[in-house]
Amino acid sequence: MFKKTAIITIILTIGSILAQISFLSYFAIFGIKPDLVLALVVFFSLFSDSRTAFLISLFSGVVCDVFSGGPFGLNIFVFFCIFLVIQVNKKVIDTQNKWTLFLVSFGMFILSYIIYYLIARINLELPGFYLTLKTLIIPAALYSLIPFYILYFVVGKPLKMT
Amino acid sequence: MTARNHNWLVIILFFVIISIIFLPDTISSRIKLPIIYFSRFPLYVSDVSSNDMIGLLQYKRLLNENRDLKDKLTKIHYEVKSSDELRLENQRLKDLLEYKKSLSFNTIACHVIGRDPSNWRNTLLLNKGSKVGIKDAVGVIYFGGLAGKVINVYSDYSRVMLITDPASRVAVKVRRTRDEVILEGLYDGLCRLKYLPLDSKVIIGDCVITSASSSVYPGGIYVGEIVSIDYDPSYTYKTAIVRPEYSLINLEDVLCLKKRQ
Repeated sequence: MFKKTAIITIILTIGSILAQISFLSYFAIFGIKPDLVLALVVFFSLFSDSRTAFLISLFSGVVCDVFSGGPFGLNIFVFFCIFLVIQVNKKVIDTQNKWTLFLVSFGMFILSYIIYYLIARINLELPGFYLTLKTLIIPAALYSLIPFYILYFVVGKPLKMT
Repeated sequence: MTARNHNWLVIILFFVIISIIFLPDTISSRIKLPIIYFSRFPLYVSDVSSNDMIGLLQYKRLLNENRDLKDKLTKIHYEVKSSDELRLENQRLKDLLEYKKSLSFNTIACHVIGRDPSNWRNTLLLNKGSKVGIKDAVGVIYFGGLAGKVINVYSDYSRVMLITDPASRVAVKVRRTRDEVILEGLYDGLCRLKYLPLDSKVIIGDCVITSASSSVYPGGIYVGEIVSIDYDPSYTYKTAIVRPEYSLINLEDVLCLKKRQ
C-alpha cells in the first residue's frame, strides 16, 4: 500500500512541478498563477502520513529552488515550515469539516507566502508588505485553493486519503 | 403448315430483323424503353445482391482498407494541427528576425524552456548558456521590446530576470518628456515608474524606453506604455504604471543582446 502511495505521490509531485514551470503561467490572472506545488505540500501534510509529507515537502522544495530565481533553499525552508506547522497541529485540525479545511488551507498558503516574503526581503529588494499582501499574497492564496480542492477531490477521494 | 410456308416465314423474319437494324433512333428507343422498364427490378435485385456479395467476399479487405483510411485521416488531422503550430512559430520567429535586423548589436536567439514556479519571481530559463557566449550578454529583448537581463549563466542554460520581476530595477526614459526614472517590477506582470518629478508632463499612453545612462541595457529599447499615473502617498513624487507590449512570463523566444567586439 505504501509503495503504491509513494509511486503516486512521486508522479504527482513531478507532474505538478513540471506543470508549474511550463504551462501554468498561461492561467495567470493579473500575473498571479495558481501555486500547484504549494497546494500539493499542504494537501499531503494534511492528509498523508508524516513520512510521505516530509519527503514531498523536501523534494518539492529542492526542485522549486532549482527552477526558481530566488535564493536557493528558500522554498525548502518554506515548505518545511508548512509541514511542521501542520504536523504539530494535526491533532486539533478537523479535516472532515469543510470550513476548517478551507480556513486551514487558506491560512497555510498565507503563512507560506509571509515566511517567503520576510526571508526574501533580506537579500532582495521587494515592494512593501502592504502592497505585496494586497497584490500577491491574498490573491495567490485564494487562487491556490483551486488546485488544492482539485487535489482533494481527484486524488484524496479515490485514494481514500480524505 | 407446309415446308413452303415455313420458308416464307423465315424470309419475312429475316427482313423484319434487317429492318429493325435499320430503324431510325426515335423508333428504336421507343421499343427499347418498355423493355428496360420491365427489366429494372431484376436488374436492381441482381445489382444489389451482387454488390452485397462482392462486399461480403471483400469484407476483410474492406475492413483493412477502412482501418488504413482511418489511420491516414488521423495522421492528416494531426499534420494539420501541427502545421498550425508551425505557422505560429514561423510568425513568431519572423517577428523576432525583423526586430533583430533593426538592432545595432549582436544577438543570440534563445528559446524559453522554463518559467519560475513561484509567484514571487518573474524569471525565465533559456536553453543557451556560457558555451555560446551568453556571459557577455547585456540585456534580453523580444519582438515587442525589452524583456529583462541575464542573472545566472550556466554552461548550457541561463536565467533571465524579467523587467516585471519585483526585484528588477531599470533606468528608463519617457520618450516624449525625456524624464529619466527608475522602472521597478510589480507582482501583477506590470512595472512601475518611480520618482517621477511632480511637475512631470507624462500622460497615459506615453512610451517608455531604456535610458542610455543604464550600465546594463543599451539605450532606446522600447519597454512599454504608461497605463496609469498616480501620486506617491507622501506627495513627493509621481508614480506611473507601465504595461509591456506582451505578457513577458509567456514569452517563448527571446534575443540576448551582446556587446559588439
